[in-house]
Amino acid sequence: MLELTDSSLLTAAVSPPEFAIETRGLTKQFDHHVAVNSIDLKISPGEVYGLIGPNGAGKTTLIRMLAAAEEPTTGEIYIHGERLLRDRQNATIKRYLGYLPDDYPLYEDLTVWDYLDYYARLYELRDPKRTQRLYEVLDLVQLTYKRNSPITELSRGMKQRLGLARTIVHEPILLLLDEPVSGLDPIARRQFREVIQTLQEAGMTILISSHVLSDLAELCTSIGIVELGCLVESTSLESLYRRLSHQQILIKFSDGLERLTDLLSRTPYVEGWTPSSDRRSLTVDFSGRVEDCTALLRSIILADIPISEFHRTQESLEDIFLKLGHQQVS
Amino acid sequence: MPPSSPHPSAPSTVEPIGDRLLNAIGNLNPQFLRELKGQLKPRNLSLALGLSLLAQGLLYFMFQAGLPPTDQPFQPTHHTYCLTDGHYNCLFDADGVVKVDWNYWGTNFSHTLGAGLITILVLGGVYQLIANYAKERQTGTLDFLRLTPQSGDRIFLGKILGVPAMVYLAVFAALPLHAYMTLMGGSSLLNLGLFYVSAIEIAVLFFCAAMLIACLGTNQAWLGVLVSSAMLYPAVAVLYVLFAIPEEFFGDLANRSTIFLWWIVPLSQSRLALMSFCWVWTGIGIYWIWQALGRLFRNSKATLLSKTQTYWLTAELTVFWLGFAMQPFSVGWSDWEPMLYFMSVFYLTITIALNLILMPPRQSVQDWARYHHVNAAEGLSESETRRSIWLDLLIGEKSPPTLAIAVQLLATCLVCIAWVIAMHGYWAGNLGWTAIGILLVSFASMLMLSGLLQHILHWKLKQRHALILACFFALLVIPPILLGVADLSVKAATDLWTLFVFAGSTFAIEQVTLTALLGAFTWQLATAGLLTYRFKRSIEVLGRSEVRRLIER
Repeated sequence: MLELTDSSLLTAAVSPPEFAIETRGLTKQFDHHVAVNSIDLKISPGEVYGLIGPNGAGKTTLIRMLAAAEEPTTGEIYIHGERLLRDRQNATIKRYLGYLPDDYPLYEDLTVWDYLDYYARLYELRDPKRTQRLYEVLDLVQLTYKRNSPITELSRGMKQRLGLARTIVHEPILLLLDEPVSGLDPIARRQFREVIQTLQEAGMTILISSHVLSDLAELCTSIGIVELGCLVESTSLESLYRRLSHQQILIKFSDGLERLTDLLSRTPYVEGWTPSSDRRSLTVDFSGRVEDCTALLRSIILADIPISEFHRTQESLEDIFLKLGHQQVS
Repeated sequence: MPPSSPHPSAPSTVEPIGDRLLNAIGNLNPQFLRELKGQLKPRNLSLALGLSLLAQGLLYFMFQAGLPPTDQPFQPTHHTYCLTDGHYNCLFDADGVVKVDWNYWGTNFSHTLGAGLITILVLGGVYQLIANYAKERQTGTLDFLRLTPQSGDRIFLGKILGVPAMVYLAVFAALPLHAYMTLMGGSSLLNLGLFYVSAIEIAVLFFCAAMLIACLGTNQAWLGVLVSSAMLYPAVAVLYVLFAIPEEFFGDLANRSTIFLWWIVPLSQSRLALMSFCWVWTGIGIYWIWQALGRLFRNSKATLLSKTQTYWLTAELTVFWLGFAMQPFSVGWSDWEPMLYFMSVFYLTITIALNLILMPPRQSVQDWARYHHVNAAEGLSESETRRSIWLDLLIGEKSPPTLAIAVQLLATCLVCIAWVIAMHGYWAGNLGWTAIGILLVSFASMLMLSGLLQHILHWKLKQRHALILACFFALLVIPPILLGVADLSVKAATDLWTLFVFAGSTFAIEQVTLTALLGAFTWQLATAGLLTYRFKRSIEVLGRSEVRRLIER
């Protein structure tokens, strides 16, 4: 075991920073309970990585360790190739990171502006860049009009967005968001999602844990599933859908069932079909990509089959999560 | 507040102080600015200034009321504040009005005001700092500070400067009156300056200690104030004694039979030398608390100091007392008995402190026991050498402190023995050897108590500290009381005192027998060994893997 660790350390010394986050054997033990169990996580720069798993699976502990808020029992963490060592100041790595926990403590005695100004100064931003940056983040989180308001006057959604503004005020390159939309109403959730999408477009690497899987499906490029402290799945969202999501196409038509079934039998990725009782519609089991689906539609039209509806459905992330045997989403 | 362009600015609460000044402060120390922004509100400012002026006014009227009455029928013949003729009779002027001793009145006023200002400064500051830190920890904002690139030094400095800002303002507002009364009392402004330097250092020491208490998890600010009150009284008393020492004590070193030296430093040369000595050692105390604060800020689960730091700390404390003990006093051996007792109690206190400072939390010890072989290898990237378990026990962060404390006790024991040997000229007959025997027994007791302390600190008990107090009471306080109640004095029952009372034989150095010393040394060392073995076993059990735990079931 020691030899293995030795060799991994040798590679660590020379490995280029190809990953925004890389962990090796990351473990956290509380008394005899292993909260995070030897996780090897790799997230490339620019990815939006969604972390899902039941309550108590170890997501928050994992994120806290990545944010340097919790000390690992054993294992290594590399942020953009730099080793995170708990007993060091880690000033450079801390500038890379922006961490928003599920609770977002704020200073109630300060105004929105003073709060952000304080954090900008803590991250050593100097004027005029500091003022400019403050206006940028306020604009991004749509709180410019509230900049002189005391924090106590903000709604929950506004406070959450202010928390996000604090997280990004120093222009981190890696965002760690733990349950960022929990407890928000649909409008506040949408606003928050829009901000995340803007940050994603700006090239920020984002690790986000959430129980709202529909949000993750919309935001993420990759997904990791954590269960009992282990990372049981870590893959791109596309690959996850391809492997595990069952896809169906509903075709409604007025005439030509035989011609349609004949065409389907010759079409790749069609795995079977089920006609309706009135023989006016078919449910097709399909395993191809979106382009293959388009090709099928085109061939049906070219075959002059009178279709009135062509609808592709796919199992959602939540369905996949449940199908994998996870009983509890939230 | 946001700049005015391109957006409208907020109504300002701190405009008179000046945005540019605040900006400069914020660039130097963001935490200081944040605390100022929280404090600098018109309401707070007027409250601090108003209360300060009110207190000054009340004190003035109180002292004014203490002056002798000048109305003819009520004029006293004896009074505290009247000029006297040498027989405590008041003097009167040509109009028959009593002559007031304004010098004495001013001195008393100045001393009372000074003591009041230190008390307000320290207690007010301690309360606010603990309350502020506890609030930050409870709300969770403290964790965010830890995640910024700011060092703990800057955060704590900002808090110490900013959190008690209103207390500083109230004290600052009383300075003119204090200066005026000091001058009226016939004292110089230089003395007032020395007083304030000392007061500020005392305040910084208390503030750092308050922050440390808060870092360790205390939320009760009033508890900090209570403890500080108890500690502040002796500190202020020492400060006033330093000022009260008559000038005749200082200077003229050549014509003295006894000179107050520390190593070769003549502390009795001048008041400034004596005060500087106190400043330096208070500064050293502040330095060590500051080190602990920095460590706890980086990692709230860390020990207060590293093992390496405690080696330096113990060495410093040893240098401190040796400086006073290595003096060529022309005195007989009997004067050294209290010194032996002092050394035993001094190092017992250090032993207890070392255990409290160096004992990692149970979780850290468990992690160390379970994973130290892995983490020692991971440390390769830092030190490029695989750390042996012995080295880890001597300098490791999470390892149990048993070996590190034992090494320090051994080293200090050797220093004490060397001191006895160096002072051999003052020991009559074989008493030097007996003194060495007594020291060995005392250090064996410390080793045993250290083992017991580690056991208790390691237990998964909420009332660990109460249990420690109970154990130390049972082991250190009850035996001498029982022997005293049984009318067995040290001289009459020296063997019993040697065997069962900590440093019990120091006051019966002529009566103590080699058998009793050997017996006490043996049973205490054997108990220390047994406790250490049990402690080692319990750590091994704690560090077992789950698989092994299941197999053993």
